[in-house]
Amino acid sequence: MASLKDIRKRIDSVKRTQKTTSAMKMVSAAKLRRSEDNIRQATPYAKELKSVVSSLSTRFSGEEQDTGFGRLFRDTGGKRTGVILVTTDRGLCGGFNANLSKVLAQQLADEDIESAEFVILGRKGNDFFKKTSHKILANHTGTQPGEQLGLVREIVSDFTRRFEAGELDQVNLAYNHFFSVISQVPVIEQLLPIKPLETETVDEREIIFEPSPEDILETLLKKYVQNQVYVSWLDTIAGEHAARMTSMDAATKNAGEIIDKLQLHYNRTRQAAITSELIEIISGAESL
Amino acid sequence: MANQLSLEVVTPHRTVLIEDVDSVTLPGIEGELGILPEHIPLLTILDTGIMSYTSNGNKQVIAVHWGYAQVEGNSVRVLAELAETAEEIDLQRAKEAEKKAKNMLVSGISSTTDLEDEQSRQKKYEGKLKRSIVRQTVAQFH
Repeated sequence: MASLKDIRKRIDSVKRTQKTTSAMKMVSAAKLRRSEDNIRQATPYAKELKSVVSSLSTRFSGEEQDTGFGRLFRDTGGKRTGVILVTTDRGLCGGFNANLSKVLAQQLADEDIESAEFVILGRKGNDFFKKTSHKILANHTGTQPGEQLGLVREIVSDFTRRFEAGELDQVNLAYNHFFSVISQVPVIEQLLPIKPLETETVDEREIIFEPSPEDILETLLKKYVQNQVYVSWLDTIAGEHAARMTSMDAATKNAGEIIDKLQLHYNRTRQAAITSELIEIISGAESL
Repeated sequence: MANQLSLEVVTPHRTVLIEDVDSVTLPGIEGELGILPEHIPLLTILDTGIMSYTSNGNKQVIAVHWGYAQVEGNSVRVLAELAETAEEIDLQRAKEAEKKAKNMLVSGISSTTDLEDEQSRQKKYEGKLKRSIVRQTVAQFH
């Protein structure tokens, strides 16, 4: 049985851990608010872009397979796959990254894709996929908020160029969608070929286009793909903080439970020691 | 407000501006465009340049870096990759960027012999140069 001193040591150690976890929870809560704000700021742009792209694409019948933007819709059905995986740099956020990586690995296995080409944002995704048969082209870690958009632009234009040149058959995007603080869901989206957007009505109004509508659509489609990746990154960042907040909250609670249990154990042991000492003294006095 | 335009400028980072204005001038990719109320619907790609608008007789400028504009009825929506108002621009930094970009273009020691790489490198610095000049023009307006 553990001595009183040992138990006291354990209680202290658990208390220290609890301090850390509750501090981390508080930090994540603050960061979460900021990153949720970022998502809110980015939403109008994403919405407008989507509505323009979808209204513009109704002007075309979808038979322009070889023209500039038509190539972005071309589905070859092949298996050469590129993946943009968005994860976080740090752990201690529950199954946030692991779930996503597992879902992605499973889907690739289901589709019989053995060596997809990965560009990974965040250290955690890299840790998972470097042990697999997939090829990691690049892993970006420690990216500052100001550099995100530029980095996304680079990655996406590289993939787009290779897709257009016919080197890749599809490009997927994997990230955690941020529904709410308690719910983040792994999502795997097909970036390229672009899935035809659901459109309400055919836009036939007379509009001046500068330059031609084809050129505008091609440019905007590429922007649209870029923006999807950017938004998914913002989602992931908010999701990371939310997940960490939840798991650190759970950890703090668990630590509290352990402390209670240990404290009870400590009191009982102490009482038992006193009792046995008393018995010793009394029986010693009686024998005199 | 039939004789006013509602102007909206958004970037991926934030909404820069929502205001009712009298007229807007846009840096279209094929030349400058002046927009007044009751303009015909228009969709255009924007170049790096200076966008200006007047509201109540005051002229304001914004630097935009790549984007597109949609004119529909009396609303003008500008979606730019980056949009900065005069107050937000760091003049000193823009000047330094101009100098650096110029240096790279003029004395540019090319790190590659590949023609395509060299062209894309030149294009990159030309873009930087243009951005820095636009920034300075806008900043001086302040």
